[in-house]
Amino acid sequence: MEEAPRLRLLKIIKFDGNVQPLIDFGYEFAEVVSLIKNEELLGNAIYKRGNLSITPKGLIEIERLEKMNGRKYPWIEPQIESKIHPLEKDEVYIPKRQSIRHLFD
Amino acid sequence: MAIKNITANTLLQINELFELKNWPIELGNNRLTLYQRFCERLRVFDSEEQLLMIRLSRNFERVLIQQYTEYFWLGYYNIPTEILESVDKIIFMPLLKIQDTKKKNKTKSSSALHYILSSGDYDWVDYSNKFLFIEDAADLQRELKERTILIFIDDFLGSGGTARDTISSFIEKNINLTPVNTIILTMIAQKQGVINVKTQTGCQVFSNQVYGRGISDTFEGHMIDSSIALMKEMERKIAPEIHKNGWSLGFEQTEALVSMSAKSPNNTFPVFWYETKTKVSPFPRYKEFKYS
Repeated sequence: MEEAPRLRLLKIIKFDGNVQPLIDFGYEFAEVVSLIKNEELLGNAIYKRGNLSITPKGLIEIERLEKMNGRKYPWIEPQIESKIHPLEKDEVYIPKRQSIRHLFD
Repeated sequence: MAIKNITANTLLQINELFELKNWPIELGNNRLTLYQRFCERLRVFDSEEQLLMIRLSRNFERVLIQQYTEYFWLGYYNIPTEILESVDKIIFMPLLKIQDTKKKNKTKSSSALHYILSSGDYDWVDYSNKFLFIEDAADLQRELKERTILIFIDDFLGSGGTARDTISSFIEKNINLTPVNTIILTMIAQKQGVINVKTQTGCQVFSNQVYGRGISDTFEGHMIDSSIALMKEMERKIAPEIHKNGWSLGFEQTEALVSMSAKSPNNTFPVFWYETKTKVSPFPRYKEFKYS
């Protein structure tokens, strides 16, 4: 696996993020699963009782990959778990009634 | 625009489910696999809804066509021996309304099962020397005498409507079907359907597996109401047609969790089978989804 998507993968594991960036990158869901399992075998991730998390070893690996990628501000993390698709120029966003129900309660 | 969201954790839970169910985890290479279909369906939902779908899937029964004979004869052995012993002839007919037996343009699942069984090897089955496989109502009229039992067969019994209509269609044509000489045998049946057939026709249903409702008979306490409400919301997210066509929670609210030879009966929760041109489903009835 290339370094850049691998860094993405580890960060997705760290934040339990959306796997969509990897799908957009061209991976299939079944491939992403085997990539995660592979990180588990390497000791970078752990899956226990339905919960996936990063290990200290995984955190070191993230750091190593970040240094290699030479990010300008490695201490500022993009919050990829909060990333959403940008709206089109002419697109209007109207939230589903369900999702803003609490405003009317 | 909907945020398509599957987290790493959810993906591993899907994986766990597939391993538990022995469903294949395979790469598609531009072909839609069950795994991809399942993930694509989950993407439509939020995390709470995804959890419900995964939880229900643990009880999902997917019967493959190569399991049909085994499943069927296992069901056959649920029929009390006294019934089979006391007759000279055991007639198997597909569960089909009399007016549908002549229709050749559309193969029904009961006819397909009937063909698989009649052309297969059943010498090892108890009382197989009494077996007679027939499809035609005229043949039945000739063969149905004293000390004969008619077994209507089908792959799945949902609400029992087909069984009721079939039996009354034969009675209308003066073929003497009674609760004594007629039974129904399926591979999988819903509990409510078995009860309906018994009360409406008097006939008994035997089946390899009998399942209750996926949420109402399985979950407990307040989880039932909240899960039903959540399921209705999930259906709305897929297509408004589900509610309009009366398929919410499955036809006649059967809440079934079944798919037969890669095709779900409409009694199954529609989130498992309802497809639109843009939304693919894991166990479709009709393949609507188009690759874009």
